[in-house]
Amino acid sequence: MTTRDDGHLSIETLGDYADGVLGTPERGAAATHLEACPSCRRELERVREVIAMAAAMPASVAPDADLWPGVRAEIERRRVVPLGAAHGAEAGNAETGERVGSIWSVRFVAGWTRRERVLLAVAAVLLVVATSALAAIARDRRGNGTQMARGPEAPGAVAGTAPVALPVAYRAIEADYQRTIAELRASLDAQRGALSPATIATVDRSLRIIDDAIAEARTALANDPGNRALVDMLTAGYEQKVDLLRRAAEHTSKI
Amino acid sequence: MPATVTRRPAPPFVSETTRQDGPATPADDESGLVDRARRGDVDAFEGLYRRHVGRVFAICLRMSGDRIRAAELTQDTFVRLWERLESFRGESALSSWIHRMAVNVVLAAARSDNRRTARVGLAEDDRDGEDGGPWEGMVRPESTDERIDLEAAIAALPPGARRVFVLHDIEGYRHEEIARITGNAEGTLRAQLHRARKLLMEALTR
Repeated sequence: MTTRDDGHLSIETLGDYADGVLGTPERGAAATHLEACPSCRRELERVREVIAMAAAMPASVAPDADLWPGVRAEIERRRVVPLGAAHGAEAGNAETGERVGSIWSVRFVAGWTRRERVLLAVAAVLLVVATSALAAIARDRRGNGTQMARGPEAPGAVAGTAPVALPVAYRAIEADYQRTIAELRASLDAQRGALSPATIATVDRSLRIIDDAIAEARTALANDPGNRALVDMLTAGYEQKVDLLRRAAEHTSKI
Repeated sequence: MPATVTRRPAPPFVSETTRQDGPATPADDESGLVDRARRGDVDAFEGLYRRHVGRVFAICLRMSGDRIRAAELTQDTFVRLWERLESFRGESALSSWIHRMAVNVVLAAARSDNRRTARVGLAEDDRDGEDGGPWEGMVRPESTDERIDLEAAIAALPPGARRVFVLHDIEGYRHEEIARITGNAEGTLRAQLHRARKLLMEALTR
């Protein structure tokens, strides 16, 4: 049992007394004090009142808006999308920050800075670019690309490692992406000959644009490390790159 | 003079049965929804979402103290539930499993936020006691006609104290359980709980 400087029971003792977690000697001493002290009895009643109010709070609170569309969009986004999927609807409205069918439409519509809007516009373009690349790969798969040419090394491989000071919490995440990207790129590079020069050029051009967007998001995040929207933007760029590389690598392995 | 506490009528967004929490029907029982959702049926998963979103949002709102953040955390919780549904073995009630998932999502986000801002929750809470009184550096709960809304008062608590208060006094977790899921010592948690109660007592008597 602890008391305050003025001799009354401490808030800790009153709380433990109310919770019934004081040991027998302490509880006895507290009870004796409470019996003689109206001030501490009132204080104990206040503690009990807060506890009772907390226990009586509604178990359920309705969100301001229906969150299901955002949940569903995120679930669908994480599923494998067929090659050559239409991209128009996915690109959405870059001006308002809404990506149709995306969790972003719920999270990041309001309160965007101009820079964030620019980045979002870039992200919308990325979707189009990446989808174009995937469509090119799909055409190759249907037999349009029969030449066994070896294209130039894809540029931009180091775009994600430019020396900017990212938040510590994000470095591990980025390292994971870098490892995955390196593995996928090695796999793709080993099989480049299976793709036509035109397809290789499309994929490389898409990767360059994605890398540019990643580099811009990294720089912005380094300058504003507490900005959640930028974290998500950078993550989206990496996701896009991994997705493109993975599907390109999977495709070449099936040719 | 003893404190007189009058609770403000529940705000519109609070209800015992929320708008989105639909009643169970025999043809649409929960175990059936779980089975279908496990097989990839998103519509069945929506049924689970409708049943549990109010409970999940409540825990996210009270632990985060921010409605927009709570909406994000609620979405994250259900996306994670979708991904982990296969691991639900039915050893506990689905509602308990979902509830624990929501708590874990909120705590993980809090840890991430702390890392991102290079602050530790306890250090942040240590502002209590500085010049300006116990609410120094925090948003004081608004008062209308001397009636204080407990939801607003909880939202205004320091983050660490708020989370412990919500888990212990509202959700009924024991200290050892909270210690296990937060990684904090029980003594630290008790101190935060007492601090939260003290701040709420002061808020409710203003």
